[in-house]
Amino acid sequence: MTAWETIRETPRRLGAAASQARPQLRSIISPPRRLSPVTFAVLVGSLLVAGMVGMLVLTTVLQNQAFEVRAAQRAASELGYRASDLEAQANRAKAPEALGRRAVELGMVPNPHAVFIDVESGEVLGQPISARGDEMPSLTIAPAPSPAPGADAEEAEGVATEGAPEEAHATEGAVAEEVAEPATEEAVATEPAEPTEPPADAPQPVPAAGVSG
Amino acid sequence: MSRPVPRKKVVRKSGRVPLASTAFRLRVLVLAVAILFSVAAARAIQIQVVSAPAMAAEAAAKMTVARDVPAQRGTITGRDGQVMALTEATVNIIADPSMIATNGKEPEAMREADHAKAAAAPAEMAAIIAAHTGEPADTIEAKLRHATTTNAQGTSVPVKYTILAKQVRSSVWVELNAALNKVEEGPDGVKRGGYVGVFRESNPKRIYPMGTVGSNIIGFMSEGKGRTGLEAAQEEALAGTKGRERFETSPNGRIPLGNQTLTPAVDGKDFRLTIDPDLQWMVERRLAERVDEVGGTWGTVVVQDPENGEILALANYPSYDSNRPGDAEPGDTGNRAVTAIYEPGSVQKVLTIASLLDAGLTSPDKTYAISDTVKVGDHTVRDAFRHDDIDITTRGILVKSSNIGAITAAREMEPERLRDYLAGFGLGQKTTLGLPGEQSGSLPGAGMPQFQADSIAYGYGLSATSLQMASAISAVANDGVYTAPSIIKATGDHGALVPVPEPETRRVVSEEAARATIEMMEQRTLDSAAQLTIPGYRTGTKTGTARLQGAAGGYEGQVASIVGVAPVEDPQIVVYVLIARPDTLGAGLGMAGPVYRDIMSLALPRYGVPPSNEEEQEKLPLFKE
Repeated sequence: MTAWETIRETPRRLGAAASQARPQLRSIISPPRRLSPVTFAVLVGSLLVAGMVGMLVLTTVLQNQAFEVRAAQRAASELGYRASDLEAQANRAKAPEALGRRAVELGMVPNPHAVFIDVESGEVLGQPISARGDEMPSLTIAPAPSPAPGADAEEAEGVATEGAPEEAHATEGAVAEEVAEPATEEAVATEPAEPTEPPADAPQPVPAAGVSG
Repeated sequence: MSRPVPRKKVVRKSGRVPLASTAFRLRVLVLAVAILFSVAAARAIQIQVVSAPAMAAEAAAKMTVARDVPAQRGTITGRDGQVMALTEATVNIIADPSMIATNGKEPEAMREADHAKAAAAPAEMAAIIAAHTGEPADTIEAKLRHATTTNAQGTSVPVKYTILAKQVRSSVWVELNAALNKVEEGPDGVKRGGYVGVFRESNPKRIYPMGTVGSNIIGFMSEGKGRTGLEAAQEEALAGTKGRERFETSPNGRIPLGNQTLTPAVDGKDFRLTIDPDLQWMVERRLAERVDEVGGTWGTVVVQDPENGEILALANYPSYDSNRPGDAEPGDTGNRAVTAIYEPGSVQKVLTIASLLDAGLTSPDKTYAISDTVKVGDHTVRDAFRHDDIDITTRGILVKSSNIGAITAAREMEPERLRDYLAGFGLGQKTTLGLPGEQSGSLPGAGMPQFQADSIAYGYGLSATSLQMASAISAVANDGVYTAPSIIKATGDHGALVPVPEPETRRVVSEEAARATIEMMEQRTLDSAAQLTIPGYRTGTKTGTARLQGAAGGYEGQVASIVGVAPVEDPQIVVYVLIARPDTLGAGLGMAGPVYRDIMSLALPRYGVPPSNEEEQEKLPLFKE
């Protein structure tokens, strides 16, 4: 037998052998697999509990987040109010009249005869004239009146509740009272010895606001 | 065989229902269930199919809440950013009296302690609120106790909203809220505090931190809108555009992942002015003092940078506080510096002489032979100083303020040409500061008769505002180039201000003519050195006094004015002061001079203008010897 014939015949022989050796097949009916009632109840119960817990957790988380957001929004709102309030207070304090009043309280007087100092040469440009403080009475502001009830009560109340800033203000007011009396004297104006004076080593054009010590 | 007994036939009576039949009962039940489900199905089809869009829209509408998002009104600042007008986040303090009356609970759920607390709360809360807001405690308590009201149908309904205090500063609310929420045990062992039913609502307030400073420029607001000044003129730009927010809600508040749309608000534009608030304040104070001192009725001051036309100060007196416009007298809330027109009087001679110099018709030393009077139409015009026949120089005309000299010199120029010069200086044309009510004044037409040309030569027969006069003199100070006055330096969104376009400029007279005029004005200062000299600086001035036209025609009172420029060698500041009074006492030098000198003294060093050289200036001839 040639190799070729061997190759051709082999499957046929194998098939004949296989057909003789193959057992009879028959179907087997599997018994239905059923959960026991207890297991089923536990399973369903577990699913139910899991779902409810999940819903509870989700709802709680959402509620908590909503509360947090609301609280944060409220805090942001209050802080915004606070910032606006402080900004308004700062702007009021920076107003020319408020600064003028503070300057008077600090013993400063208006100087209509400002001169320049050349920083490099030390030369004085202009005619320096001692400020007496009475050259322009209109620029001298009387000290702040004590808060009165009525129209200004709101503002006074608002400042009064400011805590630390109010304390600082009160302290400065007390200092101002001490220096208020000699403020109109030329000696004070021309010989700055008060602790509130700026350092003498600050050569610069005379204060632009027209106020000097 | 018996016959079978026939079976008895059961005959059912017609119309009798077998109620006892189980089958029948089942059939009825099935039928009822079928009908029920059919109705339900039909309704479902109606809702889900037929009316689906409408129902969905209705549901969405019930869930959706829409509210405006307010736009922040723009801020107005001075030239260096000092805030002159801003919106403060103030709040209204409001209360729900019906909530207080039940201590925040349903009436049926209230316990004895709740009743006791609800009874005592209004008085205790009123004391706390009054201490923080300044409102009377009894008024607040009455509002808090007013828990029910009767509606139009005569039914008693709960009061759920009452305003306790308006536009309270937000810090006051924060502290008040903390005080109301605080729980303390009193000496009697009873816990007090933890009050309910007081809330706040946003109600922003426009505030003017500088009060009266620049109030006639800034204006004020009422009922949410600007009523005068820039607040009114720039209302649209300052107000911005409000936005709109829509979101879905549930009884527990906003649905976190619900539909929401937000059309953001567009905040109003900020404005930065050319005004220097500190100088403005000083000018206002000085003007007010002087007007009261001389018994004036009103006054204005304009301080201008002649090089760029910027207004540094624009003061009015009487003025008002923008925070309290209700306290202002009628007429004081406007801006007389741009609305009040008057015959400018002798200050006008500066413009006449500058025009004649430019036209080559005169020179400072040219002399004019004048007598003690001159005929103008049917009227005889005299000079304020007594003289016979004299030869006066052009310089003398300006220094001595000779009406006759000005008329004589101006007669060498055609009236139309003089008119054109004055129009070039901005007279007869409305200024464009952007303030409400700016006036143009009047300038005679081109075909004016000679007597009218004579009148305008020395400041009569035409009218102008203080701002127009200051800007006209500024043109002379600016080497003959007129620059339209401006008061708005920049505008735009917060933090991104854009400079406004450069103002219109035009040459009116030559540089030589302008310089010669300013130097003649310096001679005017030297002529009244004691009153007008500013130590260290060369200054030029011109005074003027003119009758004031009354509302009913004719003259009522007069205006005294002075204009000054400094330093003469390179003018950088122009100050124009005008004081009106009900009689004819006083003149420009005596009434307005002190205000001018003080303001110029303050302004020059303030803007870094170095002192002039200290060479003493020589007095030049005013008359032919």
